[in-house]
Amino acid sequence: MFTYTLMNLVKSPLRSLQLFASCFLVFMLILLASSFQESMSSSLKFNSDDKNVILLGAGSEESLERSEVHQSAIAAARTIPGIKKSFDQSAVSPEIHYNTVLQFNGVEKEALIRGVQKNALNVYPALEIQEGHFPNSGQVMLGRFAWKRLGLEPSELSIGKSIIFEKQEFTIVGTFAAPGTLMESEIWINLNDMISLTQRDSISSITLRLDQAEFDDVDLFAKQRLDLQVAAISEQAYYAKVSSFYEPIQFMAWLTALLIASGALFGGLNTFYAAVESRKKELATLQAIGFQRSKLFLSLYGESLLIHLAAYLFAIASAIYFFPMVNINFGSTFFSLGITHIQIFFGLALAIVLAFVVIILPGWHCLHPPLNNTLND
Amino acid sequence: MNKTLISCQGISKVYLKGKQEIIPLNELDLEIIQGEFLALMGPSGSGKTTLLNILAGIDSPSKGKLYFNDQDISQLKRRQLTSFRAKNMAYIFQLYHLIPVLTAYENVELPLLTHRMSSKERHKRVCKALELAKIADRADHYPKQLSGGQEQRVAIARALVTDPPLIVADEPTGDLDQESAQAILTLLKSLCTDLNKTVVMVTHDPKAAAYADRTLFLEKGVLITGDYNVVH
Ligand SMILES: Nc1ncnc2c1ncn2[C@@H]1O[C@H](COP(=O)(O)OP(=O)(O)O)[C@@H](O)[C@H]1O
Ligand SMILES: [Mg+2]
Repeated sequence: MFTYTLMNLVKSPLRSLQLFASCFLVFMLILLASSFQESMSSSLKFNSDDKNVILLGAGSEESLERSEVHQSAIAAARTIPGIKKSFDQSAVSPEIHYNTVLQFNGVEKEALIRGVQKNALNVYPALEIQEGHFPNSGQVMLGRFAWKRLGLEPSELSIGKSIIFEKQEFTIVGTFAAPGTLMESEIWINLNDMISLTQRDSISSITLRLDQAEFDDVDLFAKQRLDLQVAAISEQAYYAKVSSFYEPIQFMAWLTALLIASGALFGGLNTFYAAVESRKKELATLQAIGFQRSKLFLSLYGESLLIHLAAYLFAIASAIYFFPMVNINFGSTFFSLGITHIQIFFGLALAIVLAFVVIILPGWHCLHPPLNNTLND
Repeated sequence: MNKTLISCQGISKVYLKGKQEIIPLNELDLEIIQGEFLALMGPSGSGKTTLLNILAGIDSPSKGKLYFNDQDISQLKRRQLTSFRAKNMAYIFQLYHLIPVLTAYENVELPLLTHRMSSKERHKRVCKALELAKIADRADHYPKQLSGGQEQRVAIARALVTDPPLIVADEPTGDLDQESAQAILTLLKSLCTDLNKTVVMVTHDPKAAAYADRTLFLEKGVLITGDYNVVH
């Protein structure tokens, strides 16, 4: 009986291929949409540390890049009690987040630059300099995946190479890792350089690392010091907000994927229906010979399952191979598509279920009516 | 003297077409003996196929009793009837109904897949059936590579392979040329004489019916002549 199942597929290669293609398309689209959502969410999730609080310009809490904080707030922030200290330095990181165009070897690239002081290392313990050192004036340090976000080769950004920023030349002096965070795709320069190059008199934000203090203490500070015009937001809350800002985009991605996938699914359903329907008499003959309907239905399921599993395997393999090459630079977030174990598992379950769903209707239509009707009409 | 294989007692079939009742078989009595070659004739729409389907366990009578080897099969459920068919009957169609994606050999092997059997035994049986049907030399051919007559031989081999006591055939030569038809009829006849099979054949053709031991005429669901001359 397995021969029969298999030969039905082999003997009509065009039809099998068509079914395979539509199944493949369905799986690929669903993998794409789920990867997009998964990878985007996790790119934002790992940025937040429950010990960090950000001070932003009051009224522009939604975006680090748009926020402006007067420099006088830096000294004031250092006086908040309960902030982490190391070697007498408060873990307070004044920063400028700046989107601009940089030149690499004559090629222009849009990039997100962060101006920081060395103290940032105390605020972001996940960050670790892998090679070289923290940038002094005229120098930059790159996250280990900055090349991806810039769309360059890693070799073009190796230590010793230079970058042109606002007509000034900067030398790359270090690379750092901060696993799972967006910082890994950023370019960091010295805060003073940033201030003078951009001719700003304000900074974007101040990030504090708490020790005994709680968020409420910092919040109270921000509310009491009206003169500073700052608002406190926990790093977690900030990135949760960014995440929710992207939810409609994830929803649109799903919607688009599901719309196209259901088109492909209906195409597949139609082909399956026609394929089974054209064998109506054959299925009646097999019943006349003595095959139970349950067994014939199983054989149809076998055919459908073989195609779905093959398409699923091909889709998963393609996704595992190609997705990591897809780098998505999206507003303030950046990520590569990835495939998780959960996706692999759910994909398999979907293949098994979908294989069943598509044969219910044609199977019923061919196997349900009285045998003499299907045999003799 | 051969014993009775099938006994129909007051068999009726009623189909409902909307509110209209169609009665293709009406209170029919019939005895069929093991090893006989029976021909069924009658005008189109007279109920021949309906009767054949009931004899072959494809369809159940609406009324009456149908004994097969003294077992009443008129009340069997669809599932039970399918198992019963697998063991006891085989159907030969006018248009052969071979599975196009399988070779002649695989087509003949199919019915055995519903039985518990070693693959060696299966192979032996398929070869024997192909030889009995005189089509062993085409075992590896696909249906579309065969002529009509050859296809019908494969269908006959498929019918023989499970060694069922009853073989029914609905106009088995209706689509064949004269020469092939005669060969097929000779083959069917030999199944009765050499293998003691019971063959019930529907035909339009009096020449085909002439091969049978006995010919019955159906008209409007009733048997009108019972020409009884058992050869055995
Ligand atoms: N499944 C069915 N439903 C309704 N009517 C049927 C069905 N099968 C056969 N009939 C009717 O029963 C009558 C006898 O049909 P059939 O046995 O096929 O005749 P024959 O084979 O002698 O030409 C015809 O009038 C036919 O239309
Ligand atoms: Mg008929």
